[in-house]
Amino acid sequence: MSTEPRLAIEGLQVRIGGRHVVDLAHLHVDPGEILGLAGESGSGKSMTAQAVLGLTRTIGAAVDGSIVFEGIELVELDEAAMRDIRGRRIAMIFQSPISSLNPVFRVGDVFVRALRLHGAASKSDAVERAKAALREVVLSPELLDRYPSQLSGGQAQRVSIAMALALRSEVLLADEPTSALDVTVQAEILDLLRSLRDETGMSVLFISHDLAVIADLCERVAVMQRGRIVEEGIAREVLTTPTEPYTQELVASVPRIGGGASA
Amino acid sequence: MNVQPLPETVAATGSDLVGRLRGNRLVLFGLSVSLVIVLAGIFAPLLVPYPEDAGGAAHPRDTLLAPSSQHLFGTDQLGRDVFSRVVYGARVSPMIAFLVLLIACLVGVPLGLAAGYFGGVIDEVIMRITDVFLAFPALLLALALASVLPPTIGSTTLAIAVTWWPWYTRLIRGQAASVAGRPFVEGARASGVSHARILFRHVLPNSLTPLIVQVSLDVSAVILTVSALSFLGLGAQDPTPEWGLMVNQGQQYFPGQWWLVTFPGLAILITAVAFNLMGDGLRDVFDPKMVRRRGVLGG
Repeated sequence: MSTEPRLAIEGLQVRIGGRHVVDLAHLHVDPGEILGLAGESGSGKSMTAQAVLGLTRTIGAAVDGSIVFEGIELVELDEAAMRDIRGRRIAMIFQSPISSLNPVFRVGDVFVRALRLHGAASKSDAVERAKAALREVVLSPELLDRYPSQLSGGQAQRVSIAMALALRSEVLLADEPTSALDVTVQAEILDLLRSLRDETGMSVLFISHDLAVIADLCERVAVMQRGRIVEEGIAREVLTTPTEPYTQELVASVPRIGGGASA
Repeated sequence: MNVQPLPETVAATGSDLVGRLRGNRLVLFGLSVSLVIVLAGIFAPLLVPYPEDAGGAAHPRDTLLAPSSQHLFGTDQLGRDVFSRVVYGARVSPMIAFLVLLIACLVGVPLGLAAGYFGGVIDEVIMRITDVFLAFPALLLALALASVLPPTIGSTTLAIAVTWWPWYTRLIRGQAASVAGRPFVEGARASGVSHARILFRHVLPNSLTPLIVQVSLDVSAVILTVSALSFLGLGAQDPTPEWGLMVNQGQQYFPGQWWLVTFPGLAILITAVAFNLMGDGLRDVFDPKMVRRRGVLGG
């Protein structure tokens, strides 16, 4: 890689009550890259993403090591500076898109408040940016008047992505963003992520247990097991000819229609 | 066997709320009576024949008159019109109840929010303090405090408020803890929202429903407590037209001059029942689970 990575993790350790939940030697995401992070439940994928945003402190986890984002060391950053990075420069989207929006506020309220929090000049400016962002994710600006419960899962996930977009985030941490969506909507969201990456140069850390999705979307993949990265490389290669036994198991556990090849 | 119709809707949207309220006659009754009581308190000077009797007036020649067209509820031992005093009483107890609940919420809600949201040490400290307050029976604690403080309405309010807030801390803590675990709170954190803002903009609005219900149910309980303290001589003092105090002063004339005790007593009873019915109704309206259960049980 000729350029500096946008996000570089070195020797990251996250401990909760003396137990190592993450023990990452090295992981980096380049500008404009979509990196897949695969692994079974509890392997530390989500915890890694939360450590990047400094969200692990709240749950009383101890974080050691180094997470460098655009020259800023995130592990040592104080809460106020971290808040400025959260959402604005590094955004995160979640597995259950509807429940990650507060049910008592309209989409527009949430949107406008987030934009105001991160530097929109005025309310009307924020509304304009929100509308523009919704159009970019192919949603009608009318959705700003809706409550989260009135959105479909796909719409809600697009709203979350639009929010990251409106804030011009440089990194998107996508924690199982399509796992709760049906297959056609899932494909739309993946297309959306790809085209946004192409247009804005946003880096994406795409966390998923779904290997097919990762093979489809990501250039590189890192496979996590019990907090460690056991295999890393070009997504198609790793997932078609895995060398590590754990990755082989993971790949073999995906059921195939008609083939019946499952272990 | 009668077949009870099932409630048609479960979700509590705006127009639906009104519909459900309308469907329940008891609630509607409670709501109207509560409203009448509050309005009677506000417009008391316009409603009563002898406004000065609500205060320190005395009419030695008209003492202990039986109810008549001149004195609807009779007169008391100082010749004051009991009807005027009972109506003016609608200013005292409901006002104290309002103040008590306001103070209890202002103290209890922020503490409960902090305990539920942050958990850990903060939670432990706050909840152990509330446990200390809850360890005493509420009325006993209020009695003890009221007997130490000078016997004024302000003291009564304070004494009751001190026993009341821990319940709200507990209630809100449970709610806040469950809301804090929901994904949108993590989402808000991940988009750079501060703890304070999350507490008051995200956690509080999603924890309010049970509080609203509890407060509306507690109005009658506070009114009863105020009356009980005044009845024991630890609350409002003489010329104040407080219902419990009036019952206390009238009991020595019972049953001969029954009206001294009966009308203020009825005022307490009706007010307590009315606010309670209203609270019950609000619970039914806000809590879809209750509606569903009632539907299944057919009543």
